[in-house]
Amino acid sequence: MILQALQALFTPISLFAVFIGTTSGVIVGGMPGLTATMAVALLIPVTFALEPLTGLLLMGGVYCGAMYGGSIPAILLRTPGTPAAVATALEGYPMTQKGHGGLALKVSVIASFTGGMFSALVLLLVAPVLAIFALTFGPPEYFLLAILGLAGIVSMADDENRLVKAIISGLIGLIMAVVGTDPMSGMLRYTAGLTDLFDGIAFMPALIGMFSISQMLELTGTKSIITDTSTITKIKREPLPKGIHKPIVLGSLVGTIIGILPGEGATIAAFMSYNIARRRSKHPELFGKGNPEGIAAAEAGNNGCVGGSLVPTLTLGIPGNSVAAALLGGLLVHGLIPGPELFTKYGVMTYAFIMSLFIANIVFLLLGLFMAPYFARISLTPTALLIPVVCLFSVLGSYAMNNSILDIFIALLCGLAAILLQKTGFSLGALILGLILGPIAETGFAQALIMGHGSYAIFFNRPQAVALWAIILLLLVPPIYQIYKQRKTP
Amino acid sequence: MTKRFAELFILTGYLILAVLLYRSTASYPDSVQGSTALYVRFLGTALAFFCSLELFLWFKNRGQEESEKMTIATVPMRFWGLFFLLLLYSISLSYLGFYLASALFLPLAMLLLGAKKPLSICLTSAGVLLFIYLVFAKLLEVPLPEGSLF
Amino acid sequence: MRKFLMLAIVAALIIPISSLAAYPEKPIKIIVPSKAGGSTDTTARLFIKSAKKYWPNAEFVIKNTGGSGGQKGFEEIARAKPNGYTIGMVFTTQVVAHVVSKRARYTLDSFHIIGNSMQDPLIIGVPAESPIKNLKEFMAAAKAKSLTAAVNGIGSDDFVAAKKFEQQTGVTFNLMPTKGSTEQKAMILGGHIDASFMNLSQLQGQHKAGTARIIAILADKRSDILPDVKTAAEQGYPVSMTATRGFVAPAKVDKKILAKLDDLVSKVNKDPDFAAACDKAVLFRLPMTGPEYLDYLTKLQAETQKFYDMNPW
Repeated sequence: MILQALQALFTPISLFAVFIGTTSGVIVGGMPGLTATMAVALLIPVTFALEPLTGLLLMGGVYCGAMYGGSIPAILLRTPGTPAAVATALEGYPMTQKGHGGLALKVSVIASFTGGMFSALVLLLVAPVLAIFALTFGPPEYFLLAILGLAGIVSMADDENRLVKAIISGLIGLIMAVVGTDPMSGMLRYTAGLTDLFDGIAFMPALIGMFSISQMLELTGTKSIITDTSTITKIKREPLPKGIHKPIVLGSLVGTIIGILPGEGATIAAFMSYNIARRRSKHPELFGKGNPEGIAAAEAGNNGCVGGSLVPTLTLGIPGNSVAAALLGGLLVHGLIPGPELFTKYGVMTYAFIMSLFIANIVFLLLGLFMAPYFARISLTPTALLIPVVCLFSVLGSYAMNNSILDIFIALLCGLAAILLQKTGFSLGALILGLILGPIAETGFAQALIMGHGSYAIFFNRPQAVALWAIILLLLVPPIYQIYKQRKTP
Repeated sequence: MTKRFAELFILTGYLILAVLLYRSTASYPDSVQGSTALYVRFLGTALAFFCSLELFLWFKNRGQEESEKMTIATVPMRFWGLFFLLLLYSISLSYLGFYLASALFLPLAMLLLGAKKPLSICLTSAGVLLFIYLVFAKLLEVPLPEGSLF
Repeated sequence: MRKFLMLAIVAALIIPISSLAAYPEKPIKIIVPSKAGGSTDTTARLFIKSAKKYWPNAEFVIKNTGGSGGQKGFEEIARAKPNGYTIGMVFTTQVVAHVVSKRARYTLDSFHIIGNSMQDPLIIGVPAESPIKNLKEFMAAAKAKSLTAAVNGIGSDDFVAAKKFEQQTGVTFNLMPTKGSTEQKAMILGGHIDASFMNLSQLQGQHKAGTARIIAILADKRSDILPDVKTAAEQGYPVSMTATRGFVAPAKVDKKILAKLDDLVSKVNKDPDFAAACDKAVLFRLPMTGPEYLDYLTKLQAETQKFYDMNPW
């Protein structure tokens, strides 16, 4: 069956579909406001005219390409093309400012490639087993997973004073996430009667505001993104830094695992692997100032999600995220019902699709490596022309996500607030972590209580929950101990 | 405004927010008083606690770096100019529609930021709009803001 | 078939000549009040494909206005310029639930109801390893202890179905609101809940694959794709509930244009290619004319009002 699948895949039309899909995916991912979900949905009617396999290959290519594409503007302009690239922006943009944009892009594409390949391999070999693992996660586990993510806030702070501020930022993020419809009672809270706020403060516009718009406003005082233009007049080709493989491996693993859990997204995967890499790094002090290890972990993490999210999609019909959901729609249109049959009766098509993900990863690897030096030149563009263009795309990106004018104003407001908070030492990363994880924490907490008929025992009497508690403690105790020690010694 | 004053200002704001948030949970329906309302109350309490802690540290460290100035913008004219231009642009989107508003915004912002060559201003603006028309509107059929006036 | 095509071509040639018939001379925007890729979205995309057969010169674009249980999209349709170039889709029960819960800035009168095209009956699903095999056992278990049942958010079709079931049978559930069918499926398959009220299309694949079990379909007759699943009425509990997806236009659009749109939707509803495509995409057709659908919506609104008054959300 594998051989037949390979045969089906290595036809000119199939390879062409993968190529076109991946390339357009990179473009779609690179534009804030265009998402892989939109592109896959647009492809659904198109696939009627095509062979089912060709349609699937196109969709898979778009998915892989878009996940990588988001990192390009994140690194060069601090404008994440997809929410999942935010963690990349934290490290990539400072590198660009120092004139290492080309290197940052290279690290990102190699990490994305490795993460993507690893997760596709996992999907190919052990999908059914992992899907069963994913199912053991219920509401209490999701709540604890959110707590685990929030524990990362502690590792974002270096000393005691910063720690309190980081926690406050995280809480503000969580509070912002409360706006909208109460997930349990359906009551509207803190929405001021604005329909656009019923689903909460939209995530992407807030991100665009905090990262992109705030940065563009700050750049108004400079001539170019690169801080010291006197020494750097062109972008050099640089070799990969040493020690980069460890965060890549780590990111691939974390990304794949998070990706498998239905409903958990690439954004969380990227942030989690970023935080873990930071904790385990030999040079944690370099994080936030342009450490390629951070890019490596984050990008391996979000691309690891691609294969991971397809595990429950293909085996159980539970899409891991919104792109996988659209892809599932594409499968159903062709009468392919997720489940065991997909791997037996329709095995040729399924395996050809899974293997096409490898090719898609190779396509964007070559594309990324080849284009990196050219893309990196964007950082040399004079700001007078660059800022207005980036601002325009930021505004458009905020609008296009939900077709909402209000979202543009949210982005502008977040931009201004981000500048104020950053200058007073409140961590933006912690705030965003709170904003992403807030809904998961709240819903998980409330649902678990319903599930346990009101008893808190449910958070402690399940094996997965206990394991998660152990990991949380492992992550929390060393940094707190360190801070405590620092306080005693000086 | 010094940096320390700004910190005090933000922390006080947060503290007020925490109190308001806590009090607002009384109006949640009874069925969720034990779940989501409890969660929100926890957030309020935690925020109040950490803000008080930070305020305590603030007073304890008084005297240090008292004079450190906070500069929001290095070139205030351009910074606030761009911000208000962005604000105007966002408002005008719903009246003028995407293309017209953008055709005004791009050159104005470029001039504000010190671009001098008319040719590069025109080419960049036109290029960006053409790109958006082709990729966003034609290829991917992304709906762009429409004006109500025309 | 060929005759049919000829007719369509002739019609297409005649229509632009006749006087009222400049319409449509620019693209018609269909507002889909949900995110891209969902079943409402797929319905609209399939509709366009078939509609082009009957109106070869017309162009359609889809605008996804997702979120807030469709309310944003419904409001946008109601508010749109009544020139016939913006129409949209509605889905139940959300479209009436928002009116009932007093948060909508529209009423049913804000729309001209063009007609319905799809439905998705509600079902009760249980985990595969659950001892419950049919409604009778389900009722016995529900009476013994309060069963945890997942629904999509408050005010959704699942929620109304669960309330309706509670009301007609006298049991009460430990209802767990979720973020949507993905979460419901994960909880059913993982055995974290006892049961879930959801739509047929959302769980039929899992039922076929044997990873979950549908114990009853809340419809008047069995479904063609799962003929082994009994209806609730067959098992002695006559509860029926379905989700519908239809087309509407802003109320003040010119009567002649509305007549054309009505005609188009009813033609597409009868189109064999459209039917085939829907079968493939696991969408269940339920063609209704405008007046029929309006009547249905009005009744549904009254019913939902009843549940809201008993237990507002």
